[in-house]
Amino acid sequence: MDDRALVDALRAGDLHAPRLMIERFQTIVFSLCLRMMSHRQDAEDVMQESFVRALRGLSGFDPERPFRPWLLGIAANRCRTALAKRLRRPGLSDFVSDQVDQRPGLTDPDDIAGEIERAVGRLRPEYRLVFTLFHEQSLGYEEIAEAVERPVGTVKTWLHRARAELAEDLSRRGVRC
Amino acid sequence: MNCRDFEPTWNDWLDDRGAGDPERAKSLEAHAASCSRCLSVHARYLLLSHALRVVGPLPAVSENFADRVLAARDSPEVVGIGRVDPRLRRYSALAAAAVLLMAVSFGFRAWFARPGQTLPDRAIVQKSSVSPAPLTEALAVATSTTLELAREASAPAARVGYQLASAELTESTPSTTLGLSVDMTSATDALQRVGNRLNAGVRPLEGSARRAFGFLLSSPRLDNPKPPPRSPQGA
Repeated sequence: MDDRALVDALRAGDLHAPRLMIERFQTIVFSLCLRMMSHRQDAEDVMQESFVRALRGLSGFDPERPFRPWLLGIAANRCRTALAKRLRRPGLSDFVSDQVDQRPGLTDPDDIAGEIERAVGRLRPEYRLVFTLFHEQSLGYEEIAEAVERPVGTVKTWLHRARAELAEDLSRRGVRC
Repeated sequence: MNCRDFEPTWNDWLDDRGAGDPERAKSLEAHAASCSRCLSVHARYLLLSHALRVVGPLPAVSENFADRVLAARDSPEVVGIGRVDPRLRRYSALAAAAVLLMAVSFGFRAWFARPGQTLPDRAIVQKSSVSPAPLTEALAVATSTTLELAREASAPAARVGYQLASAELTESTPSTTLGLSVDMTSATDALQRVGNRLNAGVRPLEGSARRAFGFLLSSPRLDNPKPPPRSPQGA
């Protein structure tokens, strides 16, 4: 069953369709939420809220549009809201020091993966969002623009700035190829 | 290639997700080799390109996640259902005041549009099958209260005004033409009745209406004027 047929089944009230939809998209939605929230429990909470909103809001979804960007757009909005709430309350991030790694040069792939995850986590939310959608979800510019409700030009600008900041961050922290 | 094109070309290369034109990669290498300023940029983007390939898999979603979502979907406690947006809560008092004002307006119009008729005790607002029940009930209560207030406050004044208007109409126009049933025969008679009512203490605004709208009576009271201040010389 492709996405279009799945949406039709959901709108027709097929009892099995909601579970199928969740299982099909939970990995990419979780990936996005985890990158945005940098916290597993928060990510699952936001993901759950996103799916519930999507299931309840299906009547307002245009079936002619692609489903995945619409769903990711809901998740992105939920992440932004959750991040804004998090900013309003003091958390551990206020006390964690962000020091440059003093080791001669990180070359272990596990270390590099951890470094880029942390570097992505330090990006501005909108840069982090488009970077994750492009490089981890493999969405194209058009799909990302639809998900974040911004013009393609804006998405390109955000992605290019995200890359430049990441490259600078990794270099500054002593990561080596 | 020039320095201005160097970084955009790198982005084009990354846009292709590692499947770009090899000639583009060679041109980047060639420019970096000949430009010390772009060489450091080149090193950073090479590092990023390498790092993107080693990003590890994300942890798996909890096994019962779908069940949780389906349970949450059927629960009204989740996703803000039933919660009031703080931005809306902020304006709730203003909205209530607006509804009350509208109800007052409708109440007065209903009273003056139907002179001589007894207003119903219960609310005139009918329950709508479309509107949410709480809002309908609130509007009904507000309307009923407003009508009571209007009747209590303005019935005597309205009666006086109506009698005056009716008497005037009776003198100038045959009542049958307008379909009015008026027992007044002349303006003089009407004025006499008005005078009697005023002597009996009837005022346009009395009681609770005066307490509620007394601030509108900005003119000083004439029945008990304050004495003018005395001059210092006592002249």
